[in-house]
Amino acid sequence: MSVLDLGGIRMSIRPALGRMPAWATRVVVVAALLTAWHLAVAGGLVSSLTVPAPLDCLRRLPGILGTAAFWSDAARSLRTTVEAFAAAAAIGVLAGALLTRLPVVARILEPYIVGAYAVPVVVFYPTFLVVFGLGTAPIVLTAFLMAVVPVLMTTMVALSELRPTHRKLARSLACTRWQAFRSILLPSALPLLLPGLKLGFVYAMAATVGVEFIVADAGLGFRIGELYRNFETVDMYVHILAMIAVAAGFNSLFNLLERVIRKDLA
Amino acid sequence: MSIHAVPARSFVTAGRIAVPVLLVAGWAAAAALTPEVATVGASLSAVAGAWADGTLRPDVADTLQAVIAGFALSAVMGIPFGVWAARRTYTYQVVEPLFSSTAAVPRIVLLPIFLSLFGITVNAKIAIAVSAAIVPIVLTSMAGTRTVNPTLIKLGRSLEMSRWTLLRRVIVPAALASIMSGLRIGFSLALLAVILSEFVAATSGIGLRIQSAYSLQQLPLMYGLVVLVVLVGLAGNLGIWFLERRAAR
Repeated sequence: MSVLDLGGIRMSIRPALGRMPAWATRVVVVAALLTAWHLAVAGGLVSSLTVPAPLDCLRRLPGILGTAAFWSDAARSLRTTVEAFAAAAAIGVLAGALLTRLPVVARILEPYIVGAYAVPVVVFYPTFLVVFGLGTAPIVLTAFLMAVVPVLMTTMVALSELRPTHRKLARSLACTRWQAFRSILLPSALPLLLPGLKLGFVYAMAATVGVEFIVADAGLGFRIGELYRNFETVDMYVHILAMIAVAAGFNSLFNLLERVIRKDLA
Repeated sequence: MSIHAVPARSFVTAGRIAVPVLLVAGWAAAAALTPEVATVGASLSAVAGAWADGTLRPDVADTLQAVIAGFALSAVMGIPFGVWAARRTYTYQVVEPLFSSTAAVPRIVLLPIFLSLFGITVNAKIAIAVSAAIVPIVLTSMAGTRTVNPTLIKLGRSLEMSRWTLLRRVIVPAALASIMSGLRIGFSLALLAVILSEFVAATSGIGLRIQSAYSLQQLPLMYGLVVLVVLVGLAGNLGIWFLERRAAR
């Protein structure tokens, strides 16, 4: 996102025109979408049996948030996501660091790592199911594989973009490789790593919820699928909206983290 | 540099050839260790057999149709929208957070909505593909457009370029690399969304075939089809990459 931030330049080309702040317009846009949804249902454009009115969902929301089932589903999805993400972050960063020390190996693997982006990892899920059986292991493994690719790629890019001064500093302080990585290279690469970590988390969550949808006995993905199969439309929409809120919430959390870390380094 | 360049390059080439060979060897070794992994030969011949007897073709055609239609719709709507939204800072500030926060939403949760609106049809698959592919395409189109040097735009204006010429000659070329990377991500996500939706509910498609091969314990067919999907993903990205190379010239 740093590329987008033209800072002062942006301000000078387009001076503020005395309009309302961007976030307020954003609220208006979202409100307009909700109104369109309401009108489509109220006007009979879509049957309220297939799509419930937004107000009905709102009325149902406290009931669902009050159930233990909702929170245990959310906790299950979150735990799987975090397990997969933690493994992907640790292994992705370490493997990326290792590969920058082995440039020939990195050059050999580069097209395959880039190509791994093109592979819909979720397709491996049935094979994991066959080998590891039912349970959370295949879900965690799928989510890990989804998440590790962006982490590995951004680590390689971030470490290769570090200024040579950093390495020289490490050498002149006679750091061991581990000290140099931990105390100099990692802190200076962290702001560049964050977008990759964020993408890794998003991918881990997408894979977790996606696989829960197919085969699982708990989790938000499983619950939404089950509510769909039981035609419990209002509850299903409430869960979908909750999932969107959770995902957007984590996105904001990563953005906040990014802002804090960048400020520290500035 | 000159002394090492030649052996290093051939070493890298040899290494790059060795990677897929090692992967297949790893698969073969796993198949030898456990009956839960089908052998390479059995998997490939299961897919070849299903293709030859004509049962697989409609599935492959349906999946590709949904992925390509969803991807094309996303590109046709997403690139102009992204470029438009990023041309004005205010619109960009309004729109960008909406798209970047929806990017985090696992797209599969929208599938029941599309299924209830379109039924279990190819349209539901296209809709989920669009919902997955359009977000990275819009985001990268916006990002690419934002990086256009403002001086170039001023130069274009002072040369009295029309809006269209400015777009075609200045803005799109500068944003192209970013847009193309968005298209590649978009294609991968469209394929992922379609396969995943076929796992959940479909009347045909490669995902459905993998699912049914799993339930019928036709392991060679299942492993073979998984490899087929991986190859489709790689082929699509390679195709977009070639277009990118040609466009960059």
